[in-house]
Amino acid sequence: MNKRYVRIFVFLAAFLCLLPLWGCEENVSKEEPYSFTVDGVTLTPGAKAKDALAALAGRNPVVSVGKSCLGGVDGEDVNYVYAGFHVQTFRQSEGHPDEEIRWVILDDDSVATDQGITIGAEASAVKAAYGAPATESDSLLLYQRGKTTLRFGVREGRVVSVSFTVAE
Amino acid sequence: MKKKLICCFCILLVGGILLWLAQLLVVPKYMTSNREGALVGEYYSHAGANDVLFLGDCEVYESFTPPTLWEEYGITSYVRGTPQQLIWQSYYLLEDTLRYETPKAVVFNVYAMRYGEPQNEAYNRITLDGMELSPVKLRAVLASMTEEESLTSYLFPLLRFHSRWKELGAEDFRYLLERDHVSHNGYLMQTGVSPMEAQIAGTPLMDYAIPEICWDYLNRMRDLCREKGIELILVKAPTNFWKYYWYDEWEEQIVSYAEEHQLSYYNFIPLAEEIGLDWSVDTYDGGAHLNVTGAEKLTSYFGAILREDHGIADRRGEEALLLAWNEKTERYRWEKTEATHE
Repeated sequence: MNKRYVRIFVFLAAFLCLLPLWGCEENVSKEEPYSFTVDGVTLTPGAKAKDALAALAGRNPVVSVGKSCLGGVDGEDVNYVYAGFHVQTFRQSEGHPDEEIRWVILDDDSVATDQGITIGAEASAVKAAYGAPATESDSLLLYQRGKTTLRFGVREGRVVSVSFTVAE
Repeated sequence: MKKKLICCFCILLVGGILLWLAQLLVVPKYMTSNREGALVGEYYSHAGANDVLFLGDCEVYESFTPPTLWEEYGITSYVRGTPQQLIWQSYYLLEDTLRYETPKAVVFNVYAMRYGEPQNEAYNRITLDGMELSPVKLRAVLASMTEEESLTSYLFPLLRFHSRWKELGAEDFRYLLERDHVSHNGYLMQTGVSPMEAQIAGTPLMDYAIPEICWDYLNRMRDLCREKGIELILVKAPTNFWKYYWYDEWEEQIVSYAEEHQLSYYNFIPLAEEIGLDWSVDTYDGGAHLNVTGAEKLTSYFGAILREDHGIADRRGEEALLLAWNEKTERYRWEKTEATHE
């Protein structure tokens, strides 16, 4: 009888010890990527672009296609320029279903990140909003989450550029 | 015994010829699609008496037109540019050119200084396959190969392209032994018009330092030019498209290098207006590269610099050159007229 209870106790103890590890794995796999939201449309680097671009069509973007020197045989980068920001994608060809968001770049202070940071904000406000960066220099505050990177270019203590991209 | 030896020799000879013909058949011809692949090989039939040699990537072979330099200034030139030409490839193309002639000036477009590693096989092939087999080509291949590539496949392209037998078309048979010229002394004409819609900056980089290997090859290019009595001139084409963006941080490094080594460096990006470039009509791909009207404007502008500041001579008084270049400019005008009136 005692041996049976001991076995049950050992099993439960082992299960309880393993439970946090399972929990940790769950947290890592569900880490929210950095993304930019405008007009209720979320743009996430690494995600498929089709639906988001369709939802933003009403903003009438200026589209600029950048082919390689071999004329696009190895795919093409595309810039969709909207008021206040632009989105850069990669696709194999026009209309390809796997067109993917690679960059979201804020161009002026008419738009902000989900934490309210705009071009022109103080660098201290970035740290207050996002915490300690993964990489910091005189000109850069870089944050990483999941497979995405959020970069703030800084000059004289103020944000001069904001970009979301796929982590290298 | 003697008969057996002769027989073996004949078999080997015939086998070798058949393999050679098979190789000629399966290698890409670059006569209609990807014409850039024909650029390097075309040089050898125009080698000699070129006072200016241009080296670099697509910014070079789509920005500078030798027929314009000849017509306006009597300057002879050749453009040995290729898509995404890496600086070590530029260096070895310079060495290759020096096997045939010694120009007065070498003009190198500095955009390639951003690449410190081999990029991909397709671009390597387009630059290297057209080079004549020589120790220079071997060094160029060894410096350029990606991990997946092999020297043997460059020596015997049949090994690389044998699978093309399934894709052979009329072009492969028509151009088996002889090719048409696709360029004008290395300038690849583009006549389309696609305006630049927006000025977009390049995406931010983590590191703006120009790779050490690029400085190494630039130094080697400088030393080689000095040894041969050639003036090395650095340029940056006036295009500044977001996909091929020229960052201020790179500009600072090149300016500093040029000053340190007393080299002339011309960045044409801020001079676009002075050159007369109109981004609504002078580009065929939204601002990434110049079309023929843009290239002629830039060449005309740069030709004055070559004449007045670098003393490149007017050679229109030389009978043999006059005849040869009249033919080149005739062909150039014909192609431009045909294309723009379609």
